Amino acid sequence: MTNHTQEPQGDLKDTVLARIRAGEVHMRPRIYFILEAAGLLILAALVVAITAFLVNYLVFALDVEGHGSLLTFGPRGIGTFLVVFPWGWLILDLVLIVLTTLLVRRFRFGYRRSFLYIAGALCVIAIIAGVVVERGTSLNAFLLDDADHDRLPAPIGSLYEDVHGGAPHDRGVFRGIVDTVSTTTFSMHHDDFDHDGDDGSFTVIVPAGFDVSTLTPGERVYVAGTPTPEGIDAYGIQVIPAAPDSM
Amino acid sequence: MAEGDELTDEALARLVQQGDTERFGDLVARYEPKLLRYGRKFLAGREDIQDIVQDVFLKAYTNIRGFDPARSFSSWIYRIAHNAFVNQLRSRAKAPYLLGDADAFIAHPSYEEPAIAERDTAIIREAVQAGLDALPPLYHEVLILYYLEELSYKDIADVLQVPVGTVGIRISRGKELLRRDLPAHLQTLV
Repeated sequence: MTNHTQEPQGDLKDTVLARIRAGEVHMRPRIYFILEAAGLLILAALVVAITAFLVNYLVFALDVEGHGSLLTFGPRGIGTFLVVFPWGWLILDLVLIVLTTLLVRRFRFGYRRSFLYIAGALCVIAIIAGVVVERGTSLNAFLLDDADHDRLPAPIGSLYEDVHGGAPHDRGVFRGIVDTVSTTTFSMHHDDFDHDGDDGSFTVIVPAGFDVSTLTPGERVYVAGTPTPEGIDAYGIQVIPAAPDSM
Repeated sequence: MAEGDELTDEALARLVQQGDTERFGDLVARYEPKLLRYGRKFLAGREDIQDIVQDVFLKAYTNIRGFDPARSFSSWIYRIAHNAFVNQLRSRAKAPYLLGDADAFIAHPSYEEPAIAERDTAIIREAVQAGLDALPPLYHEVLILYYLEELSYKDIADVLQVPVGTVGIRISRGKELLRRDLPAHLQTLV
């Protein structure tokens, strides 16, 4: 800042023009502002795309892992769902939404609306885009296959490898393939080759009212229950779609 | 009447953008008293307002090709001045200036500008000026822009980069605070 504190009012115009004529300041070219706005929009679009991708991954992972089934298992299932839900990814998604909202609010159409309005709209866009990608494309199957063949770099590679992770049996959650079915129980096996507590063969005691005859050997099932000496005392059982190479 | 007086601010800005840099002097002449007055109210007690305002004009010149002549030049240059003044306050304040922007966080009911401009009454401006210094900066600046600089709600929204409803609620809350602190004979005016 220059020192013109003693300058009488009215000389400001002459001083400013003199400095412009002397070449002390220059107009930035229009392309500078176009590139700046375009860069911000591209950055915002990129962050929205990452957000939508994470939503797509969350839906895919819950589907393949079968944790979504917990929501149909009553209050106990909902409680377990809240424990096994990948909150870290959701929080990252929300942080990205906040970041995008701050970027969008640098534009007139952004700051003319409230923060929550913009963030809410971005959430809706990310959820719709994520679900459309998950349901309408084979992107996840493609990425999962690449991750299985170690063709995907981190962090996406490890993200998709985690989809194959074992069920959190310590939380009373098991997955397996139905072997045999009897009147009130069925047996299933699971082996994800990590030799942990969810690997092996299990007898599952079905909950009251569950029609065990609806199960067919070879089906993939998601079981929530308490391990007992007689087997897993289940409070919820659901058939889940087979995931490629996941068993 | 000097050449350029019949042109709007936006038309003058367009000429400057096209290379007629001397026209920038007309814009400086028009906004010098306004920005000096705004600066004196915003940065009460500072002796270097003229220097800060000079920098505002130089920054405006540097960035004038980023100005859209279809919009209001007034709110554009007030935005540059607002940023400069806030930076000055931030550099000297012990506490962060305008840390919370909670009013812009949620949507507020639409606040319409009063149909009859209450600010046109000189005594109301006097009442506002009398109580300004005691107000928190959040309300201080919005009342300056509305009552003393006579900007519309929409222009203030562009200067502060907040929703129009937020401008309305800040003016409303600022007036409430003013009423509390003003002498009894001025309270009914605000």
